[in-house]
Amino acid sequence: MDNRIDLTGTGFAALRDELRATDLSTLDGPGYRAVNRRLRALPGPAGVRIAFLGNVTLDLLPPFVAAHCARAGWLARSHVGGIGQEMQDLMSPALEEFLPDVVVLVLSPRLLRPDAMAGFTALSDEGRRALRDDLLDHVEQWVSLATARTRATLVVANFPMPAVPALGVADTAATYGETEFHLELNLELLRRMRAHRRVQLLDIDRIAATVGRARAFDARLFHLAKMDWATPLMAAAGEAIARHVVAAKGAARKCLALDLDNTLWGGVVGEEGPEGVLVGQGDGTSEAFLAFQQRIRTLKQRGILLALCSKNNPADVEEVFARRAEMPLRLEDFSATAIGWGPKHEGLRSIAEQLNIGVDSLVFIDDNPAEIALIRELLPEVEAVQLPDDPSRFVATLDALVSFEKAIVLPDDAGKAEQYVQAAARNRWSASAADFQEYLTGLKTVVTLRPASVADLPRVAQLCAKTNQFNVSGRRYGLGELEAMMGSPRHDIGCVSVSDRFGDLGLVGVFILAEGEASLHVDTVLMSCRAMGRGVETAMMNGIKSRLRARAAAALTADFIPTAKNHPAAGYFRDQGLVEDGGGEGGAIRYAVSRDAAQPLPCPWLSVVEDPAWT
Amino acid sequence: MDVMERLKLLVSDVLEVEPEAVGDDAGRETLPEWDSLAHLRIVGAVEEEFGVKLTMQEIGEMNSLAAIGRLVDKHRA
Repeated sequence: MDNRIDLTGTGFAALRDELRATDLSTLDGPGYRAVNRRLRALPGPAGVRIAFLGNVTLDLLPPFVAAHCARAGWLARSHVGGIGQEMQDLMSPALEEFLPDVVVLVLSPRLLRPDAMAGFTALSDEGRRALRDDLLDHVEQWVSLATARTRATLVVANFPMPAVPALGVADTAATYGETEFHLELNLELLRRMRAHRRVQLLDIDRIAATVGRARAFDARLFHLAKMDWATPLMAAAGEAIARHVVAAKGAARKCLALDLDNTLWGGVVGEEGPEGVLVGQGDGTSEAFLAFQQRIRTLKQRGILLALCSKNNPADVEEVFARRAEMPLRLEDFSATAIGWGPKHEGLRSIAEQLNIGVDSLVFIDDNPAEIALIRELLPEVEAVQLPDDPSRFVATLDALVSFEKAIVLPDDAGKAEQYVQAAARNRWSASAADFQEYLTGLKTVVTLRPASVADLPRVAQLCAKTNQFNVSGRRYGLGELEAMMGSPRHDIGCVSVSDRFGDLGLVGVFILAEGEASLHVDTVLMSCRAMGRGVETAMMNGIKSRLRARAAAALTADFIPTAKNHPAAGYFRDQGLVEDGGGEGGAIRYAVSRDAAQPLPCPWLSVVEDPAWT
Repeated sequence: MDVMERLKLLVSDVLEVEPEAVGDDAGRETLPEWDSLAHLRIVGAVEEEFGVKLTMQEIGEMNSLAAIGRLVDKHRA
């Protein structure tokens, strides 16, 4: 791949697109410096604010993180704390003012507990276990303080295993030697951190192993400057932290669109025939395509939709899926398809339309450089990924994508593709319904309105991050902010779940209300596009109006804040009986309605279940 | 390009100063941008540019362009 960075382009989008076509692992020092100079020169607000705290010198790490974040679509700004000031920094006005979205913590046990770590071999088993707990307690104490002091996602690095234990080969024969100590330290850290919803574990031990421990650490710089990580480890950690940023922001792309010939199988079906294409057990090439299909299947379980975008006869493709039962991917696994002889940028647009998502939610994988170049030229919002020549490297190419990272895979995710298939069934049925009202009634939609519980917050945060169209404010609340609102008596977070005769759509809508002195203010109303067009939004506003009565506020106010994509929600407040009152600041359009005038609107085709605690 | 010219370009790139500001006599004394963090960046850049591995003591001593030039020549000899 081309690793030269063109210095002529300006603007973040141009730089992002250049980086996307660049393999950053081949970027040298001057390349990184050039990228960062351009990033720093860019005006405009940061997409993500990252603070780096710890007890080692971390000042040289942010440029690597910023380059990988830019490649993933985020303009990063950073703040580096003082060495060994990880607790004090959390209390500092500087960090408070910086308002981080993400805080990365890196601790060296050698610097945190120098005597105990240096004298490890002299410690009793009991002393070693006490040291382990002491280190873990320190991290946990930091996490508690950081959770209270910031609203950020906390990315906590684990502890790299030493390259060579002091006792050599005898180490694993000893009870609770260095190896056992470090394995258990990291295992316990993983378990403890899992209990904190806002924490993600940065597996720097795995990353150091991938880089190679001999290249990952530099004793010279550690002794001279307390800099623990050498350049190759910082570059790899930069990519890993960008993954955590995508996850923390809930910004994963939603759909992987795939080519077929020489992508999902070896050979061209139009030439080799359905029995002739290579995939399955037997020879190395077939097994490599099999492994690639298996890896793609795991993305579906992660909640990523799959689609096909291929130049083929649809009948040939159907025949391959029908006759090659050894393929782990079935035609039903694909939520949308564009198979034919039209250009692929049109195919990808059609896939986005079929799924009712933006083209900027697509990743496209193809073996043909001409197709990749076409998509990068005509649909730069799509992340277009060129496969290498050797199919044994396909899985690694897929694994290298940061765009599908999620903080947590929710139970809702595994069923996502099924929900889209249900949506397709609804659409087919809708075409045959003589009258739309009859269609809506026939859907037998049940809408459930209830206050959010703590367990709902990850899904609520995910909806805040992902909902672009039916979103009156475009506000992106993270877990920390939602937790704060849940703890406030002034705020209501409402959850809206929908099911119908075709299945359960899950939690699809959220509203957030804030009680002020004179009125109850609608801060947020958003709804996933898969629930649009059946009056769920009316049930939601009826629920908000009943909160108005329950809270005995004099009036309801609401702001519509236009964004690039939320025009489907532009008429919402007016349609629901609120009146534009000429107020609103910074482009917001203010609506209001008095308590007496705020009457629920009929939606007889819905069964609405309201939580009794809320009425 | 000889070692000194390459070093001038490298140091001006790392420190983000104009190439003219990095003269033959440039060093930690003459360039305020050359602080301790910049020093770590220069070390990494020199090692990458010339394919050398400096010792800890040399890293402590390389306080001027001339000193770096001598170390590079020594390692490449």
